Amino acid sequence: MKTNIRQVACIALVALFIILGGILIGLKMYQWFLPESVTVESAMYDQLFRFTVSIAGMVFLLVEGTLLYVLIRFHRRPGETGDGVAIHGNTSLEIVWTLIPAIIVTVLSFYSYDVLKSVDVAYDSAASWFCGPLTPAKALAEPVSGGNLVIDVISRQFSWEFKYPQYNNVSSSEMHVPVDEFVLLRLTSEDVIHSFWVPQFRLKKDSLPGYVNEARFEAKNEGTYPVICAELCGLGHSEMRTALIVESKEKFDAWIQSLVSQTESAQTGDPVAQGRALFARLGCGACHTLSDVGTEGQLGPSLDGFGARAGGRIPGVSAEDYVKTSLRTPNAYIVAGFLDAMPSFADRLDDAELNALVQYLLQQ
Amino acid sequence: MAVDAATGVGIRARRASWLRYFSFSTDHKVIGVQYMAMSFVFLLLGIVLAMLIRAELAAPGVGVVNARLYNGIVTLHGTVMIFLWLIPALVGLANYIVPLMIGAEDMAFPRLNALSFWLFLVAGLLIVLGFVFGPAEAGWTAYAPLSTLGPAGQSFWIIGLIVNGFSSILGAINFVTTVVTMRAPGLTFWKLPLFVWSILAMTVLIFMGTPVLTAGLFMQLFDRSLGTVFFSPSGGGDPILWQHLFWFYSHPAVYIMVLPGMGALSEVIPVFARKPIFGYKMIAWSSIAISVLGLLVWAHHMFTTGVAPAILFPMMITSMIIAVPTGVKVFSWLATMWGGKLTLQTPLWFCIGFISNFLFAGMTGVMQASIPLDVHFQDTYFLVAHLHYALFGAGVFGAFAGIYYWFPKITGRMYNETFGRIHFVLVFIAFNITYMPMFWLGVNGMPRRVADYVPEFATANLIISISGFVLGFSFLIFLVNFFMSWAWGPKAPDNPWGALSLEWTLPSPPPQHNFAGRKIVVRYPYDFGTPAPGSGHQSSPPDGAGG
Repeated sequence: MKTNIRQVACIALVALFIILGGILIGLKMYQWFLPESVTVESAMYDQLFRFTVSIAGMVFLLVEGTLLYVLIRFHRRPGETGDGVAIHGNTSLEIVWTLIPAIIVTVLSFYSYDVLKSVDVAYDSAASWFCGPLTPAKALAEPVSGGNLVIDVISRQFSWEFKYPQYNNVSSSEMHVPVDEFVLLRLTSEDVIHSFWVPQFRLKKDSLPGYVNEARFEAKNEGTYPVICAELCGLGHSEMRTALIVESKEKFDAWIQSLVSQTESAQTGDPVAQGRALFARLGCGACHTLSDVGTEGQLGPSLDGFGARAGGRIPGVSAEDYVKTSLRTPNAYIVAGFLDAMPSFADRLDDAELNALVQYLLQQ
Repeated sequence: MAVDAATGVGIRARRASWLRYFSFSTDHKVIGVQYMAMSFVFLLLGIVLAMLIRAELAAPGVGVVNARLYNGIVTLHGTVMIFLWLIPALVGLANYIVPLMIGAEDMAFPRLNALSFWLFLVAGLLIVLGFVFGPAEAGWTAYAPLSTLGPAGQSFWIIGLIVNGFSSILGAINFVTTVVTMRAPGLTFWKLPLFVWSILAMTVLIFMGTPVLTAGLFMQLFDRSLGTVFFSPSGGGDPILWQHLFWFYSHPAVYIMVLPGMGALSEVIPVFARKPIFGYKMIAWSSIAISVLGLLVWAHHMFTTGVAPAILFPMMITSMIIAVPTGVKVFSWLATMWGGKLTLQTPLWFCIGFISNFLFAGMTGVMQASIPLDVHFQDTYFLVAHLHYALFGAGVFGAFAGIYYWFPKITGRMYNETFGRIHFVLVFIAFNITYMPMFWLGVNGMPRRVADYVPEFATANLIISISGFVLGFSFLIFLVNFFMSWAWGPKAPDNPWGALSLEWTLPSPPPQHNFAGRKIVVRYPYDFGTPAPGSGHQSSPPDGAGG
């Protein structure tokens, strides 16, 4: 009986070590491993992460510990001969190590569902449970209902555009949102699949051509965070990033009002100002350096001093035609040393806009 | 047993024995070696591509290659490593070993077997040569509509994979038929070596999944060349449809690459522990469970797409449940080693490496099965780390366990044990230093498939690149050992490890018609060990054991 008590004590000690060690691993990883948590949703994510990593930590200690112990305890000593003991199995042990993982993944599934119900729009109603949040892209034209701030996220090779339908549909290449407010995103793409990712929000949603996808968040901390394209979208994929600025309600209101008035004055003002606004809105700076708007893109040629060069680039082609053709069919003239990475803007600009952009670029 | 003079092995001219590997042979052993040899050629290409990726990523900024070349290299690296290295290497190993293990003279359809190999070779050449015509640059996942827009190499890539698909489907039919119909008399399913069970599970997956991918590839080819709009929203098509078709095959592909390694572990561990496999039937059932569940999890690659929860949520549950049968395997291997007398040679070291790495793949796999957690991990370096832990840390380590274990049988020579252990130590350490930091990179904001990244990730990426170069170099140690030992290694006895499965009853290498003219004595292949105190000696697993 004495040995039995010792064995039980030993197993209990090892089990205690594994459980406490796993929890410690979960807590430490939670602190060291994850980036800043900014939203209500990311806080829930981090709780689930901590719980899951604690369990993973226990499994890690159990398996790697057993492996190490087996290696040390049961390796063949020099000169040792003979076989191990002929044990073919142990039914109760096998049931235990089938049931325990089954229980763990069941608990994890319930917990995941609980988090999903709070963070994912698709879990709001039975209808969206069965049909999903995707709607045809034309849904963006519908008027916005409800009081929450709605932002339309338009992605294209290789930039983001954020439209504010409740504010005259003004748009920006950086996203501004007020702190402590629910924000609903409606995402779509003009060309290939992109994915909207903000690591500090633990939020990622694909932005698909032909569809509108939905996501929501409520930011708790002010700051500037990166928006990253997570889905390979072509040659400029690495450069497809922008900034998301979480700011106080007052600052946000001031920003959006100045954007609204800027947009109005650009529409009525001279084409050059309109072209400048278009350059910023379309995110041309993701690939092109242009000091006038402060962009530093490297994938395409720099546009500083472009007006002086454009006329002489192709013999017999005027500067204006050169720019127009380059915007409509970018592959027509490729500057030596650069790739045919630029998408066509023929369908994205009306004649007045195209003209404005050309006038602006020729002044650089 | 001495070399059998009657079968001509001892007296066959060595020149002729080399030349037959370059011929259209229908001998499953020759085809097996052909598969493995070609897969190693493609592996070298895959390693060079990986080194180029790591050179580009060693520092922020675009420098070593331009964006087009980078995307092309990333695409080709993934395609080569999965379709032209790991799967064919494992299929080659199985091609050589499975008929021997079940006491068959050859595969059920020897000419079909040869056709599978030569189709694979054509597929490989198409995929690699396509690079010259403007590389496929949409990643190995080839998401539409990006892939529809890509340069001409994309069409070569698609046609190559279609041809490869036919090769796989024919091979899978052959394997299933062979295992079901060609077993030696008395070799029942519950006496099959677990390697054969895992190959059966693997080939069922290939057979079920590959036709769906191949159909999808045809649709993509039509979208590119005939103007159809299956995946293009502009004409009413759906880009998400491609993801369903692609992942219906490509998630099972993970198990296709890991199951044979698991089978190899179930052979190597009992032999080197001198103990019966623990829970034989549960391990066999877990292979079948992985195979069945593996077909029902594909949408877990699509958690961020906005597909309806009615599809995603059930697939999250099935993805998590896969942890149960894989856990059964890991615990059974540990229990097999427990109380054994472990001979710590290279094949067993690779098994231990497999278990250790696979643990990380499994833990992060369960994390990524959880939809809310995966939303953050999806398409980041966390995933890159996870998939390399699964495919390299488990799949390749399992392949190496099998290759070292059966090397004496296949070549008739012993490999160099010291070199084998150096190979293991180097690859195990470099592997973990290379891929572990990627978990951190992904969670903190580095997406996959980027040629450039923010400066704060510079240190981690430099460490990964340096370790990656060591990792690439470690394969050279294996190749040197492989070629030197095959040419000059000491002659291998019939059964150098004291194993009990049928292939070890034959000379090394086995004669052309395997068991022709021999009496096959079927026995339970894990009948190791001294009887447990108080129980009679058991020649097969007791019915209760894991039944």
